[in-house]
Amino acid sequence: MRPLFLPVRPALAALLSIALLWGPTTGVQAEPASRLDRILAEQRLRVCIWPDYYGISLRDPRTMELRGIDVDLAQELGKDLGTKVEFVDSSFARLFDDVLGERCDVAMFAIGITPARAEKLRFTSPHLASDIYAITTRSNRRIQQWDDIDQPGVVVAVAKGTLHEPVMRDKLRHAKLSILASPHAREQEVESGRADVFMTDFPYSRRMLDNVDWARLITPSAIYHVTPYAWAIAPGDERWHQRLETFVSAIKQDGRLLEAAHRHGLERIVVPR
Amino acid sequence: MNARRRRRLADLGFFALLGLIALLTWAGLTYHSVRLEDQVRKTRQQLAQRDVSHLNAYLGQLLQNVDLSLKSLLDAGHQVYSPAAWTTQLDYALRNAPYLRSISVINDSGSVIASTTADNVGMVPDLTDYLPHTRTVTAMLRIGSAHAGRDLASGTATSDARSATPDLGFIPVIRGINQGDGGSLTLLATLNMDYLLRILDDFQTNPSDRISLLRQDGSRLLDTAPIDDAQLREEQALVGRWRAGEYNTTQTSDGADQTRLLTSSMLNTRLPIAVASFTDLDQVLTEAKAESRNQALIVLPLVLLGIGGVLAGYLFFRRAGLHERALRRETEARQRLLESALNASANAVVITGTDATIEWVNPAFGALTGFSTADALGRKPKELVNSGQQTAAYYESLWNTILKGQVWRGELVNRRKDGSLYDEAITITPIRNTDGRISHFVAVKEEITARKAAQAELEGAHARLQTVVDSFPGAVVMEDTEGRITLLNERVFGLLGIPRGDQYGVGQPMEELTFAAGMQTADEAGFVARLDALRAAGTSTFGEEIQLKDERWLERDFVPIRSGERLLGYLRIYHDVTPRKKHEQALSLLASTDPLTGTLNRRTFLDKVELELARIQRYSRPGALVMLDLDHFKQVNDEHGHAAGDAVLKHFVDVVSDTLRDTDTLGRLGGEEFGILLPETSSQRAVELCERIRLRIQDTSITKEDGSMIRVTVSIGVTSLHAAGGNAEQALARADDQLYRAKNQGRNRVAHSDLA
Repeated sequence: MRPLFLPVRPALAALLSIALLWGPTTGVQAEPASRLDRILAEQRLRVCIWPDYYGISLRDPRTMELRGIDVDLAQELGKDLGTKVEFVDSSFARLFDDVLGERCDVAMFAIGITPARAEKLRFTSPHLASDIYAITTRSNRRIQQWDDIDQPGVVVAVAKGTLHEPVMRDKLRHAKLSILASPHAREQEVESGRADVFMTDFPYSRRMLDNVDWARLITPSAIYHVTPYAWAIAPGDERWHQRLETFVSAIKQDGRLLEAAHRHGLERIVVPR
Repeated sequence: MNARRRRRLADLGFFALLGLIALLTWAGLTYHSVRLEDQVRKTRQQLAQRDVSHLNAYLGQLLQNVDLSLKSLLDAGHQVYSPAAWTTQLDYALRNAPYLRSISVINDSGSVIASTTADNVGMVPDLTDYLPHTRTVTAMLRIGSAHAGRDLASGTATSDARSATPDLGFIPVIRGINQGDGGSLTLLATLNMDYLLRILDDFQTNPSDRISLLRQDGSRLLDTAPIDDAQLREEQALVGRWRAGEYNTTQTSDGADQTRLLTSSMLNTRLPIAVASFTDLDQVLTEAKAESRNQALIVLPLVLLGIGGVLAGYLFFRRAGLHERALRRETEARQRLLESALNASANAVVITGTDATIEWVNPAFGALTGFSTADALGRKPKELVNSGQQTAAYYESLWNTILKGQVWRGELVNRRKDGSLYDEAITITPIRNTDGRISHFVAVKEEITARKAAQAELEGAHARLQTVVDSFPGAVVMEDTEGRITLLNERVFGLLGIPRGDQYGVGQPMEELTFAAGMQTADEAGFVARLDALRAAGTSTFGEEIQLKDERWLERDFVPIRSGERLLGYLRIYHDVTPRKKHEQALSLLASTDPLTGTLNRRTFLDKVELELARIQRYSRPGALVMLDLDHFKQVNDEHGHAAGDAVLKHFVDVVSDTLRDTDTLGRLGGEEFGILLPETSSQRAVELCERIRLRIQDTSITKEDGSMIRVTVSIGVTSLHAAGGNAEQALARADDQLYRAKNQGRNRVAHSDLA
């Protein structure tokens, strides 16, 4: 498989500019009382994570330990700020509530920057960016490469509410799109043969390959649809956002980002600068 | 059998051994290869049986799960569920059952009333081809045939035995329940062929393996690879075997392309399904064969290398052996040669160890001592030949020398076996071994009894000679041709007046002695030169007189010593002849002088004149002859007697002698007549001398016993010897003429022929 981030760059830049343009304009007016002051005062940084995100922020079911690139980087952030880190369980479904509802200071679980999310949240500069990948069964004789997907008789499964649903609806011409209620359901559809492939991102595809014996990865033959991943905070706290930006650019420069990505097998989707 | 033949046999044996090793290696490799293939075949067969067994159990379990699920659904819902409720229940059942694609409910009339796939509802699936066959709805799991398609709606049965497993397919299974009056209800589940295929794939050991899932009637449900004719034949034969009660089969048959096909099958004990695996044995053995080949590739070069190494080593040592044998032969030949030389030696040779035990003797030893070789070996020389003539200290010195590693030379008196004594000259040489330690002594003995005797004889002769020489009244000295003194006696020193010294002993150069003797002679140079001339002449010369500075006279005899033709040296004998010489001189004086006056007599004087004349004529020198005559001497005799006359004559001679030079000669010619020979004197000088004589005679007087004085005068005639010539008598006559003239002119005067 070819390195991903090199051809990603132009598309990424475009998406980035969109994300920034759509950022909340109210954040520019800096409030005198920044979240940063409270964090430093309390010596406590609360980080929202989705504990089921393989490679990003996963709670190992065997040890209950958190593992993943964003967990490592949250610890680094804590070190840089000189505070201890508290992880708060969250999910994409509860993202808005948790971030805007002050349950955490920052959400760090590789949140794809979509227009809908950018409308409500303030994102840092992206540190990862993933294209769309397809997972099929290793015994599936009809799907051998990316171009085999959009063919008549092929059933493509996506989870409802994910960024893949609109993208695939938009892109598929011949194959039948099957929209399923949960991420787990789409896996079952593929495994049982009711669907041929399901669409997901790079970290999740890693999870499939590492954990089930039937999965096979189908990589786009060209750039298909790249989504940048970043961390999100409540809008309107310019100093806090600035501090996070400083951290992001620091870890990109001093190699901590690449090192953490390497540790979790994600170096192919790192946004290096 | 000679050595060459033996060597050839050894070579042949060795090469045969190498060949045998190569053969055994090849045989071993072949055996191992066969064994390996056999082993692999057996292992593969066991593996196939085990795989089939496990796969059968696994699939059986899976189908029983399905059966249980269907049974519980039917049991729970057959009387109560509406189609909508069925759908919910079926959806629920389908969750976490990835091996199922759909579940549908079929009513008594055979149409689908509810399904997890909406498209299936209303369909009337064919329920005839299910195993086991039965015409009624049965409360047991029955297996349908393979279908292509995703689900019932799009599915079609694949009946052809040759047809490959479809890319997308399913296998329908049904379970019914009889509701009595309410009719029957059947659940139809479609098995996810993809899921089953993954299981079969997992049991594939080799990519070329083929695994089939079959129904008991032989129809194929799915397989992992397309089937070929040979496999099809075997697959179709399986039904017959199962029918014959052979539920678990394994056999090998001819496969496609002349390969060997291993077929292993197992019929499920509860369900009408079976699993069969087909293995291309040749493919399996490929690896074993490659392994054998690799092994051969590793082992054969190693063995060949080893054989090559051993061969090279053998050839090297063989060559070295040949070389060594040649060297040994050469050494032995040399040793024999040396031993022969030693055996031929006239000298006795004895080799002993360091403890003097005899290890080897040559025949000359036996000849010398009378002891045979057998007598000598193992004994020590002192046990055999010691005569007791040497002191212990002598032997100690001998041992000290040779134990220090030095050569000892000496003489011994030893005893023969017969008890007689003999002299031997012996040289003992220590021999060192390669470590540098003394290992042997070699003694070379030469009998010198005869030599000793000869030497003693010689010494006796010499002593006798010395005695003779010592007793000889003269000086005796002998020299050899090299100019060295070989013999001399004590008188040499006394007679020749040489101080005794070591430099004049026997063996010293003769030259020194000759020089010392020459110093004592009146003519040193002549003495030495004469001896050189005598040596050169090489003839015997006797009685040569030599005058010494101390007035003694010696007489020398010079005799060359010869032994046959060979010149051995020279003998010189000196006698003291001084008394004889003195006697001779006295006699000579008596014959030439006048007894009264001691002057020369007339004859001797004339001889002198004659000699001077010859000299004057030869060298043209001046010279003068004078005649003197006492005037009136007859009167003196007459007046004073003859005694007075004699005294006058003596007086006259004394005065004249005092006046003359040493070189001048005075002679009495007769009576009162005298002559004087004046060599190297001119007439003038002669006249002057004569005038002095005349005056001194005239002025002196002779006193007689009675005190009376006698005076005489003299007349003198002078003539020159130079001009005139002639002999002595003629010269004397000329002088006499002048004397006569002087007499005539009145006596007591000098007349001279040149002045006349």
